[in-house]
Amino acid sequence: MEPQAIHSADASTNGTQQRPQAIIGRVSATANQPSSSEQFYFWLEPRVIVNPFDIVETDQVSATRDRRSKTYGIVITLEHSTDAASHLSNFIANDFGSVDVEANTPRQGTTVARAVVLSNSEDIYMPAPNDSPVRFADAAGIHRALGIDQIPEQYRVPAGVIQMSNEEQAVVYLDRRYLLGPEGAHVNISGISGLATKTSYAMFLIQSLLQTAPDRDKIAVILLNVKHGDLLHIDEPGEPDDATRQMWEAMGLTAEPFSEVRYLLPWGKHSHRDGKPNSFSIPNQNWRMYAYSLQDTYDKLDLLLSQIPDPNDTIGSLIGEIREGLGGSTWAPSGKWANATTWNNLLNGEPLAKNGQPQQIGDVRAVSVGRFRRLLRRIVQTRQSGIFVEQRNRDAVKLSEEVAKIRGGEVVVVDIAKLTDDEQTLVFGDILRTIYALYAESDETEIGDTIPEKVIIFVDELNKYAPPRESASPIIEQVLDIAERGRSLGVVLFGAEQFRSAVHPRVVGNCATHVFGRTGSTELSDAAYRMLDADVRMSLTRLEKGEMLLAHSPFRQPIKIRFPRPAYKQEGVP
Amino acid sequence: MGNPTIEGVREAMRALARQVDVLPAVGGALQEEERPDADERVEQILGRDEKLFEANWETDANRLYRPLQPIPRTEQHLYRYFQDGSYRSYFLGNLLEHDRETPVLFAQIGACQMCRRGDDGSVKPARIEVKPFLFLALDRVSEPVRNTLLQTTQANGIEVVDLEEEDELTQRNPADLRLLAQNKVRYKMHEIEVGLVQAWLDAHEGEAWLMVDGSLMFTNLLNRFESNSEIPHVVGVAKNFRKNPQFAVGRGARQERYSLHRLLAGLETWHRTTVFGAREGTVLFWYIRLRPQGQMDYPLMGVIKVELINPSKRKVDSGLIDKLSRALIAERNATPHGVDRRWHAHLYPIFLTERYVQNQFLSREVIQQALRWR
Repeated sequence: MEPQAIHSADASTNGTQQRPQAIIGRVSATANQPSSSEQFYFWLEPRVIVNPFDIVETDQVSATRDRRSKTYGIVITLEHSTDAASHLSNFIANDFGSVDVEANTPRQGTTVARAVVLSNSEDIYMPAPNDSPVRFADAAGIHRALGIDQIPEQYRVPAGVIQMSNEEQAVVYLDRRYLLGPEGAHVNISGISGLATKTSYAMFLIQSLLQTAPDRDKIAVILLNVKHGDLLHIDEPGEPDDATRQMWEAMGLTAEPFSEVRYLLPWGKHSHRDGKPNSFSIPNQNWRMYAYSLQDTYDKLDLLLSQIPDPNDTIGSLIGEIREGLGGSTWAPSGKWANATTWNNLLNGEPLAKNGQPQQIGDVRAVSVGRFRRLLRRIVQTRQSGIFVEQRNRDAVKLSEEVAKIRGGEVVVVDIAKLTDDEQTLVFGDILRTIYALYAESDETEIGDTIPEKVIIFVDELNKYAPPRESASPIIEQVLDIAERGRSLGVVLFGAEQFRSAVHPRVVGNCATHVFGRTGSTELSDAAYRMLDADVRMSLTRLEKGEMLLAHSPFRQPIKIRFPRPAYKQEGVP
Repeated sequence: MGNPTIEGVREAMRALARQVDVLPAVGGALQEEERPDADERVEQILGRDEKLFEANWETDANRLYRPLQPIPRTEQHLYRYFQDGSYRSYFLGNLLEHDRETPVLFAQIGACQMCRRGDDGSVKPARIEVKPFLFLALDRVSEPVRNTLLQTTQANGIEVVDLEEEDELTQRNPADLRLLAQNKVRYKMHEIEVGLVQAWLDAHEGEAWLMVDGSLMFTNLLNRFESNSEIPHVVGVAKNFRKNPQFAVGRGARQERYSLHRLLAGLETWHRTTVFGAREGTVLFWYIRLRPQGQMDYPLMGVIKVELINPSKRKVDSGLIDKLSRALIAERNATPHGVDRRWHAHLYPIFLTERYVQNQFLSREVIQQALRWR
């Protein structure tokens, strides 16, 4: 099947025939700026409009006589130059600074575009010859330029639409083997909050993956809701306008909400009374509340306290002692730990404290135990949001158990929007650890059968969990494990953050797909954006909502795409 | 396939080298530098027999200086066509035959007419002619050598020009032929330009005017017009001009003599002088100051000399001179400041025309490497 083109038909031929593209300029190779295998320049015919990220083609030599191959390039930047020797010349040419003067003959100038080579139709990377005609690429040409025509149809995932200055549009497909493995995996999305539409794009891409997957029932998704009620109604239909619906349909997708969704919402301080979760919004159906008793958390205290500096591993040692005392891998408090079955007992009773005084535990001195008690009390009692309970009642579930039940075809949304930072780290780490253990410890017969073949985990504010620190913490190690080894297990991370520079480089570096929304100029000066050409980098400051820059391993250069708004009910959207 | 002009010249050079001794230019073809005051030299030569010019060649000659306001293209698009020529010449070496010798020069000479659109002021070429030439003193080589040369060059469209042939710009002079060659090259350029002017006059009617860079005082152009001909819609605009003419203004006892410097010192911005007559009034000329004197390095900068062919030799209507001058003032912007040292008097569409012609030439690098006597 030919790649889908949204709008490339000639109305006069009833849409059945490709019209030859008009020449928009010619290649210009000079002594100072020659063409090369990597880029070429071309001047534009006056009145032609070209923008950065337009994809163009130019004639090139061919191995076959009497034929021409085509070299495809993507416009990176445009410059307008004239024969004025200096700005002073222009000032003088306006009667020495008159703003009212109109020249009888306007100064000669031309706009020159720099295009980076994407591909050649015959794999010939000779420099583009001078004066070679340049045209906009049509939809099929765009696909050839990006290598999409080489992606087998069953692996194509619609990822947005390229819209060019000549109104040509083409669907951009990613290669599923580089999204979910085995060739590559993981996606990182960055950009300014509120402008970059990171969550919207992630949700669109996940929906696209699910709708086009031949094995939809073997893929599961876990979404973390970190902001208001953004993702708490993804199974309820929204009201997309016609333009949004058309964009979905043009990509062969259906503008519809997610299906088979269940929500896990945090227990709150008043949940035992009113039965409501501690969430900004409550989904219409399929939701449960989760809470953490000591029994649920004793083997995850390292995650809970991962933000606490612990250079001498004092806290780490004590956590180990507690874990062992409470049963190790299976909950079974015994010995001096027999009574430490609730948070209160643990914090205020033996063996950590006696008569209100902290006690030495193993090699950990009492003063350190006292510090540990203060920290833990702050997190689970005095400043907690409500998810820590002495005992879970029947209305509260254990998060890891619920996550571990995940089935293929299912979408699980875990709400952490109202949790504190430490609680959010615990929940995210709990999910990662649970999923990682699920895949690492299962045998091959279980995967694809009772366990989904692939699980996609989407989290925003990834910088909170994987900052670029030298010293590792349990949560950083967990995220690094997923980033570096998750692909082979079938665990895929879709991470988003405002500042890419604030995320651990090994996490970002293992992503096969990078998506950039609008970004500030200060952030762009960081080395995290070194992968982008300087002109491309600056274009990030001008992206609109709904526009993203997409860098995908099989593509030679990043491209700009537009994507449709989500089709589920969104908070605050009329 | 090689360039036919280059191949033609190289074939001629090979043929000559078989028959005569050659002192080649060191390092290959040496580009002859165009002297910066070429316009001035041309005018000096053409006007060598006239030194005093009378005023009183327009209907209202009472004022030596007349104030003007520019007419922009948007109000009245008078100058639609612009013409200029250019050349690049290269010294190839000397041919030696017994005690005779002659320099050999190769030149690319061309001229172009640009047409300006009315809507946005952009320009496009309307007519162009570019030709290759070889220059040498034919009398200084034997007949077999001459025949060889003519055979090899004519087959490739290369015109051979005798350096010792007289024309308006050159006179037979036993002095250094290589210096003489510059004027010969320039004359050939003017021949091409005159051909283009004639072609334009034959093809165009109506209000449009042709602006030509440089002087119009070439006999082969002036001879085209009968005494009862209308004033052709052609003006010559010179950016540089001879400094030694004298001007007689007024009549009888009140007549005053002006040197050029005195005349132009009193010429204010956006003013023109009265009209003077040359060749008994066959050619009328005047001066216009385009730019404020204070912005220029010295008083003669920013001034252009304008020539008009006047076949009837009668006084010309001052209104016409004013109109032509106002439209010329409007052409003062843009400028080639920073690119051409004559920017202050170099009208931009003429500058573009000159560049277009130069861009049709083969590059210096190609010529210097390709045209070597090996």
